[in-house]
Amino acid sequence: MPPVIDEKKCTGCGICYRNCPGDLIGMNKKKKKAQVLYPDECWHCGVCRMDCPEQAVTIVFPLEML
Amino acid sequence: MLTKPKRETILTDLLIIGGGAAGCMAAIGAKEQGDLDVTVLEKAEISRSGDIGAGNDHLLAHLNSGEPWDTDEAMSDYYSKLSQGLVDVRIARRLHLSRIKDIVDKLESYGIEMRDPATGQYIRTQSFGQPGPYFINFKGKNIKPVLANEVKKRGVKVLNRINVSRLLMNGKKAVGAAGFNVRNGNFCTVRAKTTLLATGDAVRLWPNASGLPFNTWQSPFNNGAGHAMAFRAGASLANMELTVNTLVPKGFSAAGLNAFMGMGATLVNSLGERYMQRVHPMAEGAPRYLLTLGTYRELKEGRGPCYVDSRHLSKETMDYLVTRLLPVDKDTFMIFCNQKGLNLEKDLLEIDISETQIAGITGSVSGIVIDETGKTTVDRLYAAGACTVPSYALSGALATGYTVGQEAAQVALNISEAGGSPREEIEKEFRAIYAPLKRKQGIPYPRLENKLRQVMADYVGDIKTEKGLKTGLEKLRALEAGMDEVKAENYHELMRVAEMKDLLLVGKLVATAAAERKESRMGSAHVRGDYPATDDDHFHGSMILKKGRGNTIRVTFEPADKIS
Repeated sequence: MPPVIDEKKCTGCGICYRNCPGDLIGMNKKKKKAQVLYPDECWHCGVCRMDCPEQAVTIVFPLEML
Repeated sequence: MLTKPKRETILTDLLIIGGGAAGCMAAIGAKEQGDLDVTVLEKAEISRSGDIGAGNDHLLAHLNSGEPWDTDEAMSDYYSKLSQGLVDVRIARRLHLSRIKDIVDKLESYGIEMRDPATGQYIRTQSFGQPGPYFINFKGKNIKPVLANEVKKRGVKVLNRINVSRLLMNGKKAVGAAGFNVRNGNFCTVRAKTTLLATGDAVRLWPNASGLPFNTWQSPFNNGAGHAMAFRAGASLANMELTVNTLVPKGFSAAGLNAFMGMGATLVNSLGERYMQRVHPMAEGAPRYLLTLGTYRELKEGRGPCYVDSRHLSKETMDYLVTRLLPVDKDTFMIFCNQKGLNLEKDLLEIDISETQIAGITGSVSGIVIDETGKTTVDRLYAAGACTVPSYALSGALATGYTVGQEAAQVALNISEAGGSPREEIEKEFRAIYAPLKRKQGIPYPRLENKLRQVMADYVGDIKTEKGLKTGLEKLRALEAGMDEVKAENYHELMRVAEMKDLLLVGKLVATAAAERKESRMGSAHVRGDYPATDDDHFHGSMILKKGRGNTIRVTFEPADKIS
């Protein structure tokens, strides 16, 4: 689960959805929050983390990589 | 429910496919040529796409400072040596090497901090067999949003989230491209006077040790689309069998090796011995393909694991490494170290050999063949950056992008009309793109893509043989037939299916050329178990790949003395 989005901090601004180079993040319309849809396709580039204005994104490296 | 794809047709003068470092500079260079319409089709979002989407900390550059190693000649010699004479240096000089200083100045003028603000000087470091400190360490975390902004400022039309799958042809001329929007599914055709491919590397074709295929050194979203589209359109490609890999932290295929080597870290085996002196007189300063070969030998001969040792670095150097270099080259590098419990001041960093890829790194010699103007062997089709032969690293992407953008724009300005392509060709592509969505049953795309990587690793991997490559090619052809059964649930998945089609073709090109190159060359780039020695008498040159009759792959050999 590389990017973990803190739903309490996420304001649903959509910047991570706009910028993710792999198109892995979607917007949950009901909750109005960003949601990681394809965690297995993450490059761990950190764009979502860097660009989040609320610091709601944490990169959690999966077990296989540690 | 998925929305039904709408059709969009765009008319432009110059179409640039790919909005990474090369594509951005191509758009900027093109707009300087006069009043023409420039369109960029980008698969992701232009401000964060490509290999440097999340930043870069170093730029390979000579600066003509007056030092003997700091000239066009010295950089050309270094490049010639690394690429073993397989690249026409005249082309590299015109499109890339002679433009580097200009590119550094341009980046600075865009507001990127290229110098140390305290001294006003460039911070320059040496690694990878360079005759002098060719890497400028710079503050490049935001290089991509800055470049994207420069593109937009110039009135370039940027369409994000478009996966381009096919070049449109009018006879033997390229007249644009077709693809689809990976978010809303809309089918997009662009008619253009000239078309420029700036699609980057071909990654994700080989597995890596973590078992996570998108955990790659260069961007995993670079799927060799330009290579594949150019080949299908009849363009020549070279040396696809000479692949690249690097050394990465165990478990994490992250960039950063140059930073460690440039700051004076060493490589040691499990006995605590430095082993690179046995491979090259410059030891850890050796070219990258020898660092990987040296490490490969240590591992295979039973002296592994291997490590980067940075414990002897001064506090000042270490601070610089962990704050200014590693987390800029790869934003999440230090997060990884923290989660792994690693302290680089006290601990050895275990390393591994990365997955293999076709990438435009320094000394790589594979890709689309281009001439001194950046034109491919197909009329009106241009290419720049990592997908071409004579471009390397970020500096190559920026410089060839800029130069070839100018050339393609000049040609476009002299063409009165784009010209169309046959309607049935476009309809055929339309049906092919969306077919996986219509299947009620089928194989999910990750399974087929994993199978592709398995075949590449088993038969087109580390050590290749005649029989293995033949088997590999048979299996790749069988997989190609299996593409008719692949299923996609949505437009994101449809993008992955389209990417896999390109990867599969690139895999076939690699295997076909590797079978013809009956020698071993460039360290870990191409190792044949049945021909372990380098055979300059017969193979000092390039394997040229071109589409033959009935979708066959034709390979010819071009000796190096004919190239340079």
